Amino acid sequence: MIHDLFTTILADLFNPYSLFLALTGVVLGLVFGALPGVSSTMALAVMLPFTYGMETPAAMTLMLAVFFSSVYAGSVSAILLNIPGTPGAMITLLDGHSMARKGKAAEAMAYALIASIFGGIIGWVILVLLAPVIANYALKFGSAEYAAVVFFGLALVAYASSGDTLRGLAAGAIGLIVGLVGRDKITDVPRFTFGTADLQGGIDIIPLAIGLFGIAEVLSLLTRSDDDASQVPESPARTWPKWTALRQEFPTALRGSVIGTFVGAIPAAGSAIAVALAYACEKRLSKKPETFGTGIPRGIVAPEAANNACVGGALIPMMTLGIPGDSITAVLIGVLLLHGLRPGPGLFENQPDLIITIYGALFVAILLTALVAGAIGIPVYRKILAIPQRLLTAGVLILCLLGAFSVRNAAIDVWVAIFFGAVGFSFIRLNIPVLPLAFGAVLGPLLEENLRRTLLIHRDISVFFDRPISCVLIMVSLAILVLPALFSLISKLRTVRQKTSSGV
Amino acid sequence: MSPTPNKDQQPDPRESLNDLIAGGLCLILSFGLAIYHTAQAGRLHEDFGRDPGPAFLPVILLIALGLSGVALTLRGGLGMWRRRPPEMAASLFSLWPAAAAIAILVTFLPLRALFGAATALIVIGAALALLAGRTETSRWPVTAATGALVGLGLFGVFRFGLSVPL
Repeated sequence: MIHDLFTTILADLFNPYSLFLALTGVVLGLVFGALPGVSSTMALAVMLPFTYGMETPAAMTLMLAVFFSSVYAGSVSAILLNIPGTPGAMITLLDGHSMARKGKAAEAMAYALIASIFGGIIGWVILVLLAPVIANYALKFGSAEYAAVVFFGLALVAYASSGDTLRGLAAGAIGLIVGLVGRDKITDVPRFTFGTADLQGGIDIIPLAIGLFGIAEVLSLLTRSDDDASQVPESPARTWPKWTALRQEFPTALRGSVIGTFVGAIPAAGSAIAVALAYACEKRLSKKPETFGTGIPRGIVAPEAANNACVGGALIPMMTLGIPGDSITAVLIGVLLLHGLRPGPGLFENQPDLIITIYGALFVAILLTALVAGAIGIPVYRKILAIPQRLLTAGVLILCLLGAFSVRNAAIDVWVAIFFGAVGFSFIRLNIPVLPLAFGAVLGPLLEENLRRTLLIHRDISVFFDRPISCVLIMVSLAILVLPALFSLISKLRTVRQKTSSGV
Repeated sequence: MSPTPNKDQQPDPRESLNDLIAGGLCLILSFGLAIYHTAQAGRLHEDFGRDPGPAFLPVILLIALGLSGVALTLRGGLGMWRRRPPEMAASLFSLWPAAAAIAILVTFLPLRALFGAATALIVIGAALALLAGRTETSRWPVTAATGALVGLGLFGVFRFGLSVPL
């Protein structure tokens, strides 16, 4: 199989048609992914009609190239504009945008690219070698485990985001409530819709993220004093980090990639949980956890490696079981179905050549993303920083309006973006972390669905502690939430006791 | 003799005020949504048998939000105790550019309905560029014109490049 795979990769690289399709996909993915509001799913959906007349391998080559490169490009708007294009890029902006504000935007994008390529390759290797094994492990996840994973993800975000924990918990609760707006999926009963038809379908995460991160950031820049260096400074000439600096980030990239692949393989868990887990893991292992969020490479490498490793991970349940892990793989399944193919175990038995072609196409997409983004993408993206502030501000705010509108071509999404822009700005002024709100909104529906399904099936909340995976996840989540506060309290009590005994 | 707390160890009055405001907002939000949620007619509060129902998680979250609000208010109140509140008027006045930007953004949909998306974006682009470039030395007609061009350019990208029906 390995021999066939290498032959396929070489054939793709030297076949002008395949190379043209992969290159087109990569370039389009890099453009679409960098535009706020234009998600990987939208990029794939836009490209879908072009695949109707293609052969299946050609269609998958184009779509996988768009998929992988747009996932990387989501980090560009997060780093340059503080607007995450996808939930997977929400953690990247913590250190990525902070690094850009220090005048190291190009270096931050280079770290993101290198970590993305590394994560993509690790995810690809695991996909090729271990897909059936991981698919079996992912199948062991029932509703109790899903609910526990979501709770775990929320605990990780509360831990990973900077700022006060109590304010973070309040923001998380607001986010979860926002996630519940709209018709309940099980009973079809509307909640928090205030009688408006527009809110019945719920609040989409992309306009919310555009408002919370993009509009709020620009509003914040506008209110800074005039002599303050409010614009992200242009990068110095150096883009690529030194080899010694890169070598130090290798363990981080490896851990992030493995986490990303395994979490990505859990259907519906998504990149949001993977990046939060990778970031929290690095923060926990670091000797200087307080530096996270201030613009350090590790804070970019961990989430970006995990985010792009999720691509390989998400393909595992899709290829082996025919289960779409998220909306992106649902579109990819659509491509296969359009060509009369049903992904799943049967595909491995009946179409082994196609499986190898898909694996090969993904690898070529990773290689071309590295080449195109490295040679053309970063130099072009960094030119954005040379635009005068008045035009950048106007451009970013208009981009936010159009990006929000283009998600569903709905006016309500523009209102949502503006409203959450004002909310995010208030949060910045009040020193409330914004990230828990965004993650709460992403994970709220998933938490509710699985929590209720578990209680519906098992009737008893003790089921979460009877099942080993969910029990471990809940225990670890509680430890993450409680232990830091407990240690801080003990340390304060110790200080007070020492001062009392020394008579100070 | 009990230790006198060092001035540095006392909470920053601005942070205490933030706690107080954040706590108050959380309480208003939780009470407001709780009243709306409990008063909602229809099937929301019906018994769904073994399913805890669509009201289950919202109630838990509203309680959690309310408790967070109480905790933040108490912490803020204790931090502000016998301390002079920080100056607010100047801080509030400094927010006018953000308020103006939101007001400009809010006009997008009404302008789009009246004159079309291209005109709306030209007007909004010019207004935002003037707002952002208010301290720059360039002449205002030039600033407005370049802002309008940005609006028109982005309209072109989304309308014709991405086929978004603006």
